[in-house]
Amino acid sequence: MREVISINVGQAGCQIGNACWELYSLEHGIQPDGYLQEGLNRPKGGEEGFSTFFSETGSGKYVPRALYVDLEPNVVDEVRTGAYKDLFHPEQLITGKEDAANNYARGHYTVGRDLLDDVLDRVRRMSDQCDGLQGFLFTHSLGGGTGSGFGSLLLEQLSLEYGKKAKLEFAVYPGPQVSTSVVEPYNTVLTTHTTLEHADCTFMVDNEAIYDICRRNLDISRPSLSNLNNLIAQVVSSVTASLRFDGSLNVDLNEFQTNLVPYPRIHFPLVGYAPVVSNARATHEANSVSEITNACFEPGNQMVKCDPRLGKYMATCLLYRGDVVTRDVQNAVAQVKTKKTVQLVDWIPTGFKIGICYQPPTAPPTSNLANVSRAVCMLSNTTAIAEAWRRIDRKFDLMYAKRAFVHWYVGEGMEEGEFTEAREDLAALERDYEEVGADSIDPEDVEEY
Amino acid sequence: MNMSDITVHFTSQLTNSERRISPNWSFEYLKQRIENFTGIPPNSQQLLLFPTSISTDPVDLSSNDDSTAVLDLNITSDSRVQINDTRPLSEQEDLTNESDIKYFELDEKDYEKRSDTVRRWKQDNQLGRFHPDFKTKKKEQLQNNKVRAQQLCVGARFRTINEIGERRGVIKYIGKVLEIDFENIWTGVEFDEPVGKNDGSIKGVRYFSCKPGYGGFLKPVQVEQGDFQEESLFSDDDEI
Repeated sequence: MREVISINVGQAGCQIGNACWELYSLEHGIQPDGYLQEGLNRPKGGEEGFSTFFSETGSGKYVPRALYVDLEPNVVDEVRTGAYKDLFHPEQLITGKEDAANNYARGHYTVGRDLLDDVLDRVRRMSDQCDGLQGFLFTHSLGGGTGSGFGSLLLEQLSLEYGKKAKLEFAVYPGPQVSTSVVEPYNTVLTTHTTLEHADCTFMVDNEAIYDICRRNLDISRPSLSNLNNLIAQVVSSVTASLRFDGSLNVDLNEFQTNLVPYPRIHFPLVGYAPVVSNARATHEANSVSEITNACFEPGNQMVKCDPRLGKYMATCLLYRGDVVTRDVQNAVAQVKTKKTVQLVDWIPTGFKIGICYQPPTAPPTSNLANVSRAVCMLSNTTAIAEAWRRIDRKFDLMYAKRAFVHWYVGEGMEEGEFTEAREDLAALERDYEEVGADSIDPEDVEEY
Repeated sequence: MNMSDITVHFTSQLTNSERRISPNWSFEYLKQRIENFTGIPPNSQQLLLFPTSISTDPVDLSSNDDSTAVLDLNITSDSRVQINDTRPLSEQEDLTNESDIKYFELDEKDYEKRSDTVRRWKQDNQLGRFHPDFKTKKKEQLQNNKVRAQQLCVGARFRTINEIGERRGVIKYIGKVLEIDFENIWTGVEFDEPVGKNDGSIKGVRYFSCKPGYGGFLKPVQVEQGDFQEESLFSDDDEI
């Protein structure tokens, strides 16, 4: 058995976790109380894949292999009292008393440090229940205090304790226009620096990109966080579907890294997803394999705002779900490859990896999403995502030049040198992306000025 | 008893976010929390409550006593709270002004020194320009471009075809363009239609003149010289 433990950290991480586990439960026919839906005698999608994400108690109840961690109790209290309260064992829900106040240093050094042993203990107990733990799946935000500070602390510790086990992240990256807090750039740069060598593959989602998709495709005029999280859950579900469902060429957690990451630091694939359609529009759209394949390469269907037409691709995975035949996929991919807008790095082997899971996506009743017969999730390691780093690095500089709010961090025992060290590391990351994009000798390279 | 949180929309000059607040909090604590994400100290906060998302008449909450419970402020999950900074502009830190900012630049030397970089990886594994064949291939390519450039002449008609389609125009310049690179020969062209990127100048240096948006610089291998006349709106192969 190849178990995966999901760890949701901080408010954003826990709320995305909620949306994901609600969706997983629906997809596998599990009721909110952890028992199978009436009429089922085994979980949907097959026992083997399913047990990577759920464990079974003697009494026929299924329990997510998940931990919720937050430094303050309120968000997780809603899980404790909400519709899915019986799905989780109380030990899986860990909270402190005092929150990180949007401050990386509080999450990493002071308040977070006090909760660490407790969390590591629960992780140990959970991994003891696994026959062959594959690794961990993190969800957290980069801009918040707990998500950035405690999230990176925990990743560091897991690296020490679990060595080579895969560690994948879904990380909420700050939107380009709208900041949710003034110190977001600090938290993001600090946490990225700390986790750069500990995470194997990080899928970023920026709330602004998701917000725009919700508005445009789902006709929601002012999307709420819960609208956004439902969409993020669809993406996370697509990425994990191959692990959870039998029959899909059973992908290993490690394979994301193997297929997508040519050099360990360059581990931030761009995610695209199609189709995103509302119930009202679903009947008017055909969504053939070729249409959804083309759509997921369009900037408007991507989870981070950046322009892949300006970058070079190192690798791409296309993960299809539902009613899909291999021949159609091959044709669609051949079509994509001929596009001049998809430029490949030509000095390392690049490839298109295809995954097919025959289980179609599920739309939760409250999500505004239509039930569609097929969907595709694109994971592309492209140099275009460096734009996102450049953006946040410059915001960091704007504030750090005035040392604005730095005393909040120093007050929690953090050394000011960590700011410059982190910023330097991120500058090196930008340079790394330039190095990946350089040295093309492709005669087809159509530069124009 | 613990009452459940309210999810409220907070806006300030620099931030915009959906956040949870507890009805049990005091007004003082709420203001402390607000400082954490807006950067505005409690005693400089003006809190304006827009009761619903369509309200235009805000209620100023600032006069409430610090001990007032959030419950009594009548904030609902449909509300928006706008936080203004009451300090005079001279005392506020301008965190958006880019004019006198020097963005951090990593020294070439410092990048070279690092042990875990893509460049180091390329060097160690002879990838990209560190591959023994790279120089020969690059030379070959430059040579091809040069040969091609010699077949082109200024004043001649041409066309170029890429994923957007076919574009036609006149060749205006052949030679190096140091603002792009130091090695290649480039073709400066004026398109028949505004499908270019400039007016014949690049980074302030002029190579030829045309209307803005009609000019461009292409690699000679992209340029096909010949009797390609300007396409009229009603050419034969247009479908009607």
